[in-house]
Amino acid sequence: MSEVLAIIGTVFIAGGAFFSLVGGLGLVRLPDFYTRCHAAGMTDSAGAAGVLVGLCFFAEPLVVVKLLTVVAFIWLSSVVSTHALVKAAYARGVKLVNPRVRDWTVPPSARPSAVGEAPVAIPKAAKVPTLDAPGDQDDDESGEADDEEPSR
Amino acid sequence: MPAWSHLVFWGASIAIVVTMALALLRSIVGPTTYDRILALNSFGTKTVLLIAVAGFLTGRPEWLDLAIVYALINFIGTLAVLRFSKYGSLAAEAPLDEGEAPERPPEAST
Repeated sequence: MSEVLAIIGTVFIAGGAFFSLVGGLGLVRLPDFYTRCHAAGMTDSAGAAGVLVGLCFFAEPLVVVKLLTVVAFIWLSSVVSTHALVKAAYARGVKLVNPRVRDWTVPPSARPSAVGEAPVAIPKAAKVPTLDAPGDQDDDESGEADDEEPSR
Repeated sequence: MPAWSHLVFWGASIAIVVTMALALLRSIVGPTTYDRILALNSFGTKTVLLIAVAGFLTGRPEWLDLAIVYALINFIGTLAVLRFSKYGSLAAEAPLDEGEAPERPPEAST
């Protein structure tokens, strides 16, 4: 009976480790802040819950209660902190890469009027130190972004 | 607990450590501050998992208390860093620089 429980727990732990690895890979490789938030949030939910629920099958009853407490708290706190993070970044104007719908992070005055490719999104915090250097001619963000994209 | 269970714990801890390394890489190269905060939040969650797995690996599951405390501190720390990056102080009333943010469309402002 203990063997059966250990095999079930091994399946859960393997799934959690898989989700954790995939989320870490997505955290490095995805192109955008918001998609990286998706990767990290999915890792926090599925990976953590998989590993901790898998550990429940190896544990004593009191330890199971502690493990489920950790799972419940991670499921609450990860969602709340990801939401706060995305909302703060959105309010600060972190741009989307390749939006399929309208990019609401661009203010309506700076939005390109022609229907075409989306401008190359440069995160605002990365662009701020270089704004003073070229100086005189570029005060429009969308025109500057359009110049940097010859063809796609 | 069968004899091969420590192999499972070793495999899980190796996967968690690799994920922590990837999150640390993102927190180093991340272009914006929010990328770094996100990576550190993920790093903290993986630390909770690593504490739990290491407790089972050494046969001392009492370390889960440390994992609970670390999860609490991680959540509060993320919100504190976010608030600090927006307001410049943990007790301030007004945002740090309100004019810098672009204006929102009316349906997106809550």
